Amino acid sequence: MSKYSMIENGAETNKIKKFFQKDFSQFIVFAIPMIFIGIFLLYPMAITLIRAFWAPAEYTFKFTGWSLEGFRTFFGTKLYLRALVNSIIVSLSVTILCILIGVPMGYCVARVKIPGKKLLVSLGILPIIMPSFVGAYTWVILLGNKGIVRTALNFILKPFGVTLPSIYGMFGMILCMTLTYYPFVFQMAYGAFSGANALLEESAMLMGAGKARIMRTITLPLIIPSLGAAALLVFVRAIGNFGIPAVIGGNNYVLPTLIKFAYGGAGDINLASSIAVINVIITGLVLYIQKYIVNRHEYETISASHTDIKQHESLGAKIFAIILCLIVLIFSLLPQLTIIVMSFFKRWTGLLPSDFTWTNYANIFKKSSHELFNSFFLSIVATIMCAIFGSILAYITERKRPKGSALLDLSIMAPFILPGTVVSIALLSAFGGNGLMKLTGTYLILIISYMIRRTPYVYRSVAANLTQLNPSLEEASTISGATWFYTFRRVSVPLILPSIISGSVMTLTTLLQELSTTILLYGPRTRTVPIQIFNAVNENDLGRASALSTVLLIVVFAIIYTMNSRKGTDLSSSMKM
Amino acid sequence: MKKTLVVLLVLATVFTAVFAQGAAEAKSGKMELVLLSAGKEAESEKIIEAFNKEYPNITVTHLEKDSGDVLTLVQQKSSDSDVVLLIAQDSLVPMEENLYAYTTKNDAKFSADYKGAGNKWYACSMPLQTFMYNTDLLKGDDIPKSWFDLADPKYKGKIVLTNPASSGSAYAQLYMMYKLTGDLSLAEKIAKNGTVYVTDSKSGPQSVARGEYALTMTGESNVSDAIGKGSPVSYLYPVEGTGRRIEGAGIIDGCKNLEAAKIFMDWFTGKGGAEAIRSCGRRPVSTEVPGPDFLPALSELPFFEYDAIEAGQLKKQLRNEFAAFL
Repeated sequence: MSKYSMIENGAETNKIKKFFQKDFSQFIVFAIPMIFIGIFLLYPMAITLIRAFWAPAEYTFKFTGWSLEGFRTFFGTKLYLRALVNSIIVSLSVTILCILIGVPMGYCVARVKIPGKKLLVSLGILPIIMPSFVGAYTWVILLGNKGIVRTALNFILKPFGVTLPSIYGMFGMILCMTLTYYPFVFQMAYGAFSGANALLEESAMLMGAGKARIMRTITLPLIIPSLGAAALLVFVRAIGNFGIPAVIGGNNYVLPTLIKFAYGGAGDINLASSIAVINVIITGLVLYIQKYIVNRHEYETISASHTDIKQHESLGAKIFAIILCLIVLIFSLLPQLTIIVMSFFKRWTGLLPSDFTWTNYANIFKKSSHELFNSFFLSIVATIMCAIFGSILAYITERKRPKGSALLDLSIMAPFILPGTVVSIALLSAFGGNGLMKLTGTYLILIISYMIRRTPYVYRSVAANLTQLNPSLEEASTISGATWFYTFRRVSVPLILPSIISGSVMTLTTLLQELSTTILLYGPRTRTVPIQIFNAVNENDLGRASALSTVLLIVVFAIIYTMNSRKGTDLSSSMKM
Repeated sequence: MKKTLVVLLVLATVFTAVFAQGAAEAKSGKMELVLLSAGKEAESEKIIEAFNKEYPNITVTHLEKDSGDVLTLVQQKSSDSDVVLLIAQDSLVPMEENLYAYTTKNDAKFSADYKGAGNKWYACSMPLQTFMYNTDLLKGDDIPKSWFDLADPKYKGKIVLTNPASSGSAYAQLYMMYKLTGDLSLAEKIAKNGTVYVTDSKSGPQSVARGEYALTMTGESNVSDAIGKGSPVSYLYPVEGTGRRIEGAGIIDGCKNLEAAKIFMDWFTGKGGAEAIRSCGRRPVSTEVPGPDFLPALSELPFFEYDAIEAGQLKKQLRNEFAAFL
């Protein structure tokens, strides 16, 4: 071997050495989640989009030929069009009402000096955590034709010649969904009002602006981005809700009802896909409008220090705030109270429950141990994965800003703005059947779908925290020779821990009650507690359903209250868009 | 870097554990069995309890889905189950190609009408449809007697039915109305009478039991169940009769636990199975046990012709016609 070629060889080895010495971990960490999202979100969504243009399928997942039949059926049938109109009316009304309730309440808790704020904030998240169909059944017990609250109110109103309208129909759906989803707005508004920069309001006051003017020109505009995100969340949840319309909608069907008709009734996954696509288009339009409004009101506030916000201390303000919060909380927590009461009785068929019993709780140990294990196992594993995935992803997109981070951001957030029924139909059409990847009935598909749908909580929470965090500490670590992962682990994680915790708490508590995805994907081995609750409610075994719900409710409340008692954790940050 | 490795190892273990579930099944002489039922969860529990009394070595897990979902799962060969049960004949017939032909020990007791071609399935019970009304809300002459009474304006807004688009039993009711008049004119009149069509067949009888609505049409087992739970309800079979329907059970072709499935089918088609079905409030096809509690004997019931094959063929057309005038 000549001297010349030896040098060349040496250079070659050096190149290889250098290649391996290069820090690829960042690229790998970026690529793995992208691949994951590609397989388990983009691929299913693409399949759904393709299926939407296939001919009707009866009990088959196989290719049935290209066709516009699904859309023709949709736009050619009065029933479908009416459902579309109903969905839009209900979702928009619910969104507006949630803002009208949530914003004043958030303001009161954040800006008025009242006792028990942590308790109010903890209680004010519970309505969204209960499976909505359970809520719907309790509303029937409370406000149905034979409902106890309705009967009482009608008795009081009788001398005035007024009777309450029936809960069945559009009015009931809008009422129940509003009382279920206002916490999104409340939590976000609370977070925004208490986190806003106090200096701006103070300077306006110093310059002589009145209270109303400050509210109109400073306070409210500052929370518009948060409000926009909350409104979008409410809209998406409302348009994807199946439980409430199924129980109290009567003949007023909505889009998820149509998906149920198409897939559950006729085994037609292609028609279900067409409806899902229409659903996504509507959500996309609303997202566009929301972005348009929010972008017109985007403000950048620059501040070096954080000052505490001045709180209203006048007696009038305190009384108003307390009364407002109590009315909203009592009304919206009536379903939870009903469930706790119901769990000690055998039946509630008339006005009042009858036959006190402990057996509902005794039966949990006998008949639900496997389901309890599944619920906790699946939720905890998925939460840990979400916490790891979410925080690493947030760190990379926020700090490293690699090429394509916008794409990554959009992909992670997509499940957040896609109705649950749509994600489920997508996962089912990709992994159901007996195709390439048959995953229905496994623990894996549930964990994956939970991750896809819930990673945004940790991701957003951490990203929001990182933007407020000065990167100089991390830079110091890097300059001293630490790799990015070491820095992330030893410097960033301890700093962003509160936001990881709040995102994880939001993930865990909502997963423990997850039904809409689970119900399409579970198998005999992977039944969860919410599935059992759903069956029990359907089978008129309200005692069993309520005992199980009460157990979940207590676990969830304990987790949330413990977290809210910690300093620096804030649930609202996990919902930001 | 060590810590990173540890984290990765833990993650890998979690994932392997998740992947490996099911692969590491106990090989201790115990058998497993998965039931896929269109009935209720409480019914599966009762049936399994009775079965386990005789066969304690078979661990049974169960899954309940709507009959449409069951049909989809079986046709897709993706049910992960061994035996389907409490499935109406209209759904059993189309899934025959994916059922396993097994002649049970009780085969001789079943006439040809009560089992599938090639013994792919056996009838177990009769999901007969009947009026169920709330006794606080409807009394004496107000109780409807005929199918045609449902179109009477005095019941406007008081009737709750299930949408035939989402439920097999609700479709059976629609087909019965079709058989009565030869078209859907009666169904249309009932729909135009302020009748509410819910999306789940189980919520109609619940609403009537609570007194939210006065009247529904539902399977006998729901009536027996509600009366057994002390709800103020009663039943009435329409004078024109009700369709003679059957529902059955069969082994899924290619299932994992074939031996256990055969043992189950032998038991389920026998007296033990019939008694378990009866305990669910369903009407067993077996003449060895009486009909369900609170309900009349089979011989007292009026019937009219119900052609499950034709019902299956007309399904799409009738559902579409119905959707058009709802």
